Amino acid sequence: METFMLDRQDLPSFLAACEKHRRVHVPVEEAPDHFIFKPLAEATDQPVALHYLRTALPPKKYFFPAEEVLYRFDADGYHPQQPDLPPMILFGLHPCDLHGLDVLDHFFSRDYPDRTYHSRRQQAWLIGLGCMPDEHCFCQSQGTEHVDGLYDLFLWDLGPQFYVMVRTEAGHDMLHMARALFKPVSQANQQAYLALLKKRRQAFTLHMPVADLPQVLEVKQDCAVWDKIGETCFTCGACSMVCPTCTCYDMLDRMDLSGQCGERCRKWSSCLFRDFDRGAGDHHFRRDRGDRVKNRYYHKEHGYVNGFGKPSCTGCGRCITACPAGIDVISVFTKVRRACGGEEEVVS
Amino acid sequence: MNDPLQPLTAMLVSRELLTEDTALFQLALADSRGVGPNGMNHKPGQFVMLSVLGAGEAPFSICHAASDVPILQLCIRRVGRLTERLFELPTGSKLGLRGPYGNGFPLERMVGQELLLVAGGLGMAPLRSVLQAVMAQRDRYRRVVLAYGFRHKDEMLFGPELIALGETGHLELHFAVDHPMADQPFTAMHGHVGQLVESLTLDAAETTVALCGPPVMYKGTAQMLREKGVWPQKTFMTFERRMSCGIGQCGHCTIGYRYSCKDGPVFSAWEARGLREAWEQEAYNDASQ
Ligand SMILES: Cc1cc2nc3c(=O)[nH]c(=O)nc-3n(C[C@H](O)[C@H](O)[C@H](O)COP(=O)(O)OP(=O)(O)OC[C@H]3O[C@@H](n4cnc5c(N)ncnc54)[C@H](O)[C@@H]3O)c2cc1C
Ligand code: SF4
Ligand code: SF4
Ligand code: FES
Repeated sequence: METFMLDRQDLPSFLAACEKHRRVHVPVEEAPDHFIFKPLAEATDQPVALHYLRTALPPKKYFFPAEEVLYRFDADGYHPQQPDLPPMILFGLHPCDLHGLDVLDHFFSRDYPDRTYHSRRQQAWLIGLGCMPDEHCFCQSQGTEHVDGLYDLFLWDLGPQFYVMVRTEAGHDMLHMARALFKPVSQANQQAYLALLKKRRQAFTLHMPVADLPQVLEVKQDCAVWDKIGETCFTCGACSMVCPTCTCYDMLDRMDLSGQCGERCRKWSSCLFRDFDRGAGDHHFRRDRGDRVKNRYYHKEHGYVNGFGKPSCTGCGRCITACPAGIDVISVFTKVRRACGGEEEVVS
Repeated sequence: MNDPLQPLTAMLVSRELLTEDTALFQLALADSRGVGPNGMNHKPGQFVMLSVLGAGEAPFSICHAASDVPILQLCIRRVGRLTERLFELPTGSKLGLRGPYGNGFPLERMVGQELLLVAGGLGMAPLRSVLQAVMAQRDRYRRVVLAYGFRHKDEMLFGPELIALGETGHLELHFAVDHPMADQPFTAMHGHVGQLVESLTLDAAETTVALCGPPVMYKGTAQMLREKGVWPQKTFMTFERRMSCGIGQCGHCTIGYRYSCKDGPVFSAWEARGLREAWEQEAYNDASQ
């Protein structure tokens, strides 16, 4: 891996140089404390939000959009629609979101690679951006605090300068879009980078012990806590929509007015929705809200670990800030441990 | 890239009513490449995703054993939006078809065993494909028993076919009905299929079971089979969940960390131990079969 320094005031020039080759998308503060990824070209009077921590929607929105038309159908059959995402650079991904994309990449490539996901994903180059955790971040607990190999280029914010890591050929290509801006790294720069990592490591205030969670959950499947949590959950599904690794979807056929043709769409769904598991004869396997809440959390820290070898929660904290009922993943698991007489795990 | 979500075109060749609300549909692929839209032969217990223009898509079990004829047979009950449309379509109509999906029943593991097929209601549909495959190679299996429960004589699926098979001596038939009728052309126990299975004498240690029916029949029947001495590794059941993709993506069919579309729909009682939602919890709603 190659490393370089980039002066803080040169970042806009670098992004502008990139924009000449590919559309660049950046995080901006759309409203106070409301961050979104947005095309640089449309953010003319908005600065890149280098201080942001979590965008409202994770980067999955680019590759697995909230709604997409997969096919147009008519009497001749189902005609695949091509996604229209042009080659792009997604700037400013924090480690948790890079891990989130890694989960999605893997999920959508297993037995049957997903056509539209991959055609979009292959169009994107990723630039990571280091961050300082707030009180809702727990990526350190989830083991997604650092990334290796999931980005093309990565910037650590050292204040006056960025410490830049070039990981892939695409990263090298981006560097060369404005090669003159990138300076050599001194020993003092390296020390500043390591000091930043140390400061960041110590800045985490939220901790959730997860290593034994699959075992704890396995033993404690029957737990009254889930019904209690279910009583407060609105089953609005917000937690799934904002989650970088939630992938559940519905298929929807929409007829045109002619009644002769139409389109088949794929839409985000959520296992919290009442109809999610409704089968023939109005049979439900998770009729109670508590069962559905439990299903989501089990999927993240138990089921996914069993099936895929790691949790599907990146610790980004989005579901904590998005939940209108104030249900948060940390206290959920703390309550489960506690209610079942398990040893108290502290959340400091 | 091969796109598993894209339906290919099939044609409705015929529809034959089997009961008041259930019919046998025969479909042909537009390009007559063979059974199954991928041109492959399917395994008994696998299913296809069937699309009706504008009405959507739903999973249906393939209800016959693989053959060289490029025809697909599905036994479908009229229960809602999509199936209503299916029952109205004129023959010759075009349909979307993809698959076959799912793991199917492990027939190889049944060789040399006594076979017990347990069907409840529409569960006869996928088991018919098992039965046909077994009958095609009858000498590889020992005793073959079908225990089939349904509401009353008019709800029986494939009756003449089954009775004819019984008469050859290759298949031992046992029926259970909820509502006995005087003019039944067969003898049947009055009760549900679980009670019927309980009354059977089995060489338990040498028996493999294939079970398919409404969710309510699973727990009790599997438990009772276990008590009779049938190994949970040899009790195979289909867990049919709502499905939107059929390929392990949409999440609708998950039971714990397993996808019933991809890892199933057939699971052994042994595999299903940890899948509590599958059957260890009481079914919430006595779904009609
Ligand atoms: C593996 C598998 C095999 C099946 N095999 C058969 C078969 O051989 N014959 C048969 O008649 N039926 C079978 N079913 C059930 C059949 O798929 C449903 O009855 C069918 O979806 C009903 O569609 P509908 O639109 O007419 O019903 P509605 O009740 O109007 O359903 C509306 C929508 O709800 C969803 N839905 C409701 N019930 C189910 C369900 N059980 N599974 C999946 N989605 C559901 C679908 O999206 C459906 O389009 C099978 C189901 C599965 C999972
Ligand atoms: S965001 Fe909160 S209230 Fe909404 S479904 Fe998720 S847990 Fe329930
Ligand atoms: S479960 Fe919550 S904290 Fe974990 S990745 Fe999803 S949104 Fe982030
Ligand atoms: S049907 Fe979509 S995951 Fe199984």
